[in-house]
Amino acid sequence: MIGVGKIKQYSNVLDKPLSKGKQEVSLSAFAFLFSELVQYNQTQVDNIAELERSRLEDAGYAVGARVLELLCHRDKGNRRETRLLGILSFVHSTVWKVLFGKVADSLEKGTEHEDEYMISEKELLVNRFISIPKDMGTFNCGAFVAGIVRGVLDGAGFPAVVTAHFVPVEGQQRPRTTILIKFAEEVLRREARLG
Amino acid sequence: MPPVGPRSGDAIFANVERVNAELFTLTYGAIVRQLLTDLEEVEEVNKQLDQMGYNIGIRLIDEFLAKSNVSRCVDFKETAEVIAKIGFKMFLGVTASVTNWDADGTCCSIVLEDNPLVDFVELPDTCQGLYYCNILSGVVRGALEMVSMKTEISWIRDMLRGDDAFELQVKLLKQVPEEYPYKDDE
Amino acid sequence: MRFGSRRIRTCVFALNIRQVSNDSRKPTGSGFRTVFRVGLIYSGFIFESGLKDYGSSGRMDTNDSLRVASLWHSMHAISQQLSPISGCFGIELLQADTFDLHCFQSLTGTKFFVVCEPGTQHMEGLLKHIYELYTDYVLKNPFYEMEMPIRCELFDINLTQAIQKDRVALLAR
Repeated sequence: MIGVGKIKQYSNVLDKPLSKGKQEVSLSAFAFLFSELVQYNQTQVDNIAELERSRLEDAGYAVGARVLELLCHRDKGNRRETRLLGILSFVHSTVWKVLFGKVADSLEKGTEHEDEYMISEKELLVNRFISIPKDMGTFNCGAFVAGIVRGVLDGAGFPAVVTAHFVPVEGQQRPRTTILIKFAEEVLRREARLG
Repeated sequence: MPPVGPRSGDAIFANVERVNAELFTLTYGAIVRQLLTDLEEVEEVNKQLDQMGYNIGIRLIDEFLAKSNVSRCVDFKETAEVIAKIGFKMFLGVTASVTNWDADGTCCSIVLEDNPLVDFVELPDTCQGLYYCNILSGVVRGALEMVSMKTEISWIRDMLRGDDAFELQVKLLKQVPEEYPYKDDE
Repeated sequence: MRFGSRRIRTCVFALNIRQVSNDSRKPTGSGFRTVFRVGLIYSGFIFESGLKDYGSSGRMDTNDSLRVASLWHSMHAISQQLSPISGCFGIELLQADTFDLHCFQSLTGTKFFVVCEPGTQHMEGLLKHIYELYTDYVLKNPFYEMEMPIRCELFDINLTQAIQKDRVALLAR
């Protein structure tokens, strides 16, 4: 059997054909890795806000930036969305489907602010096994996913502030998670110009 | 209940919930990047990855046991086979094989035929000393420690360093028998 | 667990779960029929669960739980010494006149136990299921520290569901 392994060697990672993205690992493997990511980052911060806003979100941002490049190349023939609704729907459908195996539950426009959009998920994949201790208040590990969204949007030229929030749902024991996207002013001005 | 035999790695992997390997790969990449930024020294990053793997291993072992129905292994040889054939398959969906046994059966190699951690990865010049997949060695070490086997694990071959495969050497240092509580403490 | 440590720290936790059902054969004034206590002793460490107590009768306080856990731990170990043939891994079932105590021990030494009415069926399946819940909702939770009391909302929610009667019957299939 020696030498019949599946892996081929490439002198340069760029020579390697891009995978089709069909390979899978167990959800458990991801869950343990994500749990360890959160635990490690807890040791690197002084407070919960820092853990959420700078550490987990940054880790997610690094993923989002790469996901954008990967998907634009593989799924969109090296094109990317240039309009606001186009990019939002790309995140809500294409990105979600690839990363989390399903389209996000909903994409809505904020009712009070023109520049706000919300992607909601009844049960965010990263939160599947996670119970937030009472003393951590509104902390949400979905900050990682918010970071992914920010990474995708930023890379595509739609800078935004993106945050994750628990939202109670009537009749449900567990709250859903809403990813709140607040676009930068320049994005809305550009949209207005494009008409 | 009738005794249930161990399930094959393929059967378990087919039945567990799965996610796209790219989410896993990119998340792991984000972790390595954070460590390189936080710790600066490649050697420190290697240590931290191993530690994080250990932390995962001591937790993951229970899931492995719960889902695989594996019973107590008779010896270290069987243990190594179980890790390669069932463990790697059920979590990472990859096949691994056990080779290079030493004469007294306490040291062997686990060779990975595929490794989802390294898709998209090339080591830059500044990180040549990095054992990018060091988390895996930590996982195996931590998991075995929870079933009373103290091991030392090192990379023999690493494709990111130009080798033709990923090869982990697993060396059994000692097997700690279960303790009878009244011999403890006093 | 500190590897190779000789210390045995005593520890347990118990959950008192009283099951409410309408079709019990033994009607009681208050409407509940079966009392389960589920606990796990983890290599001699205790977990306390945040599950509510459903009443005063049949409940254990923390000290009781501790006492049971340490006693059980010892008996478990003694049974291995007592066994006339080798290969004994401990006690699986203790039958008293008013209750059964089932114990499941994983290969990592984590013990789970359930106290139930004498003769209650399918407890092995229930314990195995609880073991799986533990690997999901406790061990994959980044805010759970090993060896510390379990305070995981999702574990409690799923445990409560598991203990509901239908669920137990389902597991038996």
